[in-house]
Amino acid sequence: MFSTIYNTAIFQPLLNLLILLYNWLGSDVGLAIIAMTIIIRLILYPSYKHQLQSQKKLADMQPKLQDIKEKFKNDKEAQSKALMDFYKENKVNPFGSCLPLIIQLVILIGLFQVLQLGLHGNAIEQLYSFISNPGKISTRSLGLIDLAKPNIYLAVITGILQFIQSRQMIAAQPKSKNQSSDMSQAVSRQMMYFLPVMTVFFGSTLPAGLTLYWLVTTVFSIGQQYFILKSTPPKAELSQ
Amino acid sequence: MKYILLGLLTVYQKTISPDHGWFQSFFPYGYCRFSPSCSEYSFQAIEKLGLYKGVSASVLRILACNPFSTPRADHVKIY
Repeated sequence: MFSTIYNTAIFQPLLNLLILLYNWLGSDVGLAIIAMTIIIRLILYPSYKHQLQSQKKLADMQPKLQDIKEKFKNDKEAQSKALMDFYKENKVNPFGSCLPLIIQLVILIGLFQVLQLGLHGNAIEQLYSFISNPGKISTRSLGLIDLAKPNIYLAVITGILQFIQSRQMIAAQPKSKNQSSDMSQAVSRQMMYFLPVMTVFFGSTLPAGLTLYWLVTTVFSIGQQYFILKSTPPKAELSQ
Repeated sequence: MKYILLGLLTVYQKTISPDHGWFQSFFPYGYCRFSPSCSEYSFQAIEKLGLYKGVSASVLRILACNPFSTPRADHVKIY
């Protein structure tokens, strides 16, 4: 049952979108992947935007939050209740939510399969009737890169972009002086180096089409973070 | 099956979970809007309620964990 739902709701639409874009964009798989990535990210944009704005606001409210934490130091329950009230009063929500996260994970898996099967010209029978069959799919993009094979250059570029993105994310985080947050900042810094290394590793073993997807997503994230963090006013009005 | 799912949840929590895994330092306030987090809730639900009820409860919980719901504490209820 799950596999049928997954197939009709995730795999088939993604496959058809990719082939449609492939047909439109001069039979270049690379351009099709770039276009598809941008479309997916635009659809997910609202959920990211909301979260980034909240993060920014919270960073500005950090002193107030510290006060509350200090006040209810010995009573965890009262503390979390006070924090919740504070969030509500100032209309911020520091949390993400799991549903969009899971949707993204599933899309990523679907995309993985689509790129694996689609690039090899399989699964053509899954095309919708109104999408013309492109025949054999050329995996060469821009006459340069074979997207069905791993490509170390793309992987390294993606790793560098990933590094920039993590650094940007950490720079936006609140800085405070207590010890536990020192710890977590150290871990953040570790991750900042670890993530790009992992990206290069996976990028140099997986088909370059997937690495290209990751590259475009990362560029999109960098741009998105840059504009959202810039456009949110630096000091939020605090009630209380 | 039950233990396979619990194992997968543990692996998830130890790795890519934004609340319990490598990325938790990116989310200083926690990621999930509910407490306990969705994965923790699912773990407890499957452990306490068994496979079918547990998985159903987990699915409902994740559907509830969307950008339109209010953050709150939400523990597994035992019938």
